[in-house]
Amino acid sequence: MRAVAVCFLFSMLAASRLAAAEKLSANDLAAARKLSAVKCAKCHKFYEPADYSQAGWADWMERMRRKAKLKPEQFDLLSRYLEDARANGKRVGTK
Amino acid sequence: MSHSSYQKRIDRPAGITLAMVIIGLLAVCAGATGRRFTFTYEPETMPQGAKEFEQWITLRTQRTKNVDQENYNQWDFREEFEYGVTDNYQVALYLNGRSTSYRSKVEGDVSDFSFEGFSLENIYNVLNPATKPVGLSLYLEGTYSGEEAEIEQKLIFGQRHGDWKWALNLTHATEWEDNLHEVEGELEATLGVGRDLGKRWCVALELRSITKIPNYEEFETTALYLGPTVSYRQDNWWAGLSILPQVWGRDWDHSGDGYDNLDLAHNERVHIRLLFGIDF
Repeated sequence: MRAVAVCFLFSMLAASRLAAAEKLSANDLAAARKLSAVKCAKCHKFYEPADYSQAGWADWMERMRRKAKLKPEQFDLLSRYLEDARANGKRVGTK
Repeated sequence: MSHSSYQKRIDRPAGITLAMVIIGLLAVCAGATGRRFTFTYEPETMPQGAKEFEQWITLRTQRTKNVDQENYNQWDFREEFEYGVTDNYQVALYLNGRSTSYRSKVEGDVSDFSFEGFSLENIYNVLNPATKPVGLSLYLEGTYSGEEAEIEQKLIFGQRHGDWKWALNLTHATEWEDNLHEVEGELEATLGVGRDLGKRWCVALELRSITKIPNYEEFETTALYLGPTVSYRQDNWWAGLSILPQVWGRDWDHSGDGYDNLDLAHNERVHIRLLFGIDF
């Protein structure tokens, strides 16, 4: 029963992430790509979110939030953009 | 000079030297955007609001007794505080110190420690290597110590190709020495090519060419250095070590160092640099 509840919770979380990702407008997408080039790929090679588990990716995002000095709104936009790519297996290399 | 007086002259600067090294090492324990090269700058600038401390330790060792500088050692210490003003522009303040020792038939055993003044460094990223075929940054650094001054300009190129990375620096510097009465030009080209080994380690080769032109009249010396660099980075700190032996040199003013294909009159046989960096 507990396992079913945990699965349900994860499904809801994933669904809410996807829903959030869907809300990215064309302008948001352009801003997220630009932000990704300046705050991520400028400092290190681009790591594809699709190659990571949700927990692993969330851990790196939190570490990079501090290192890249991301503002809350920048972190939110990047998180939505990259989590959408991760969850849907999209390759989003910046070049 | 007696042995005891020699020891006394040596001990004082060595003590200061040791203290500066320890301060640098302790600072590392406190808590960086890793550099893959130590002599070559990469075009990427720090994120806006990022702060970093770097400790530079450079040893230039071994000239020749033919120019009366036997057992030559020059230690350069630089403490650097970097700040990302914007995502494309960073500034840094340096404190510079130098310890020099050698054995001379004329002067005896020479050992000297000097404060070499402050430097202010500016780096502006023009082309982001993440979005352009080649990254480009402009570099301007001024140094002043009261008796000497220097202005240095660099063009910094670079790019990443998967796990490989290269950077090329073209540098021109003007130095004013002897209470600002003497002027000297310096041209330098530095190339670094490195490969990441996982997320932490990078191994690289660095090639460095130095040419000095006193009074901008005639070339005095050209020296070419080539050697390996190893760097390691963690989330909050990084370190890099380079060992660059001189592979070719020429003393255009015929100083009589006794070497046809090395210049050990104005340059040293080996340059070694250790860098530490920490975010805070």
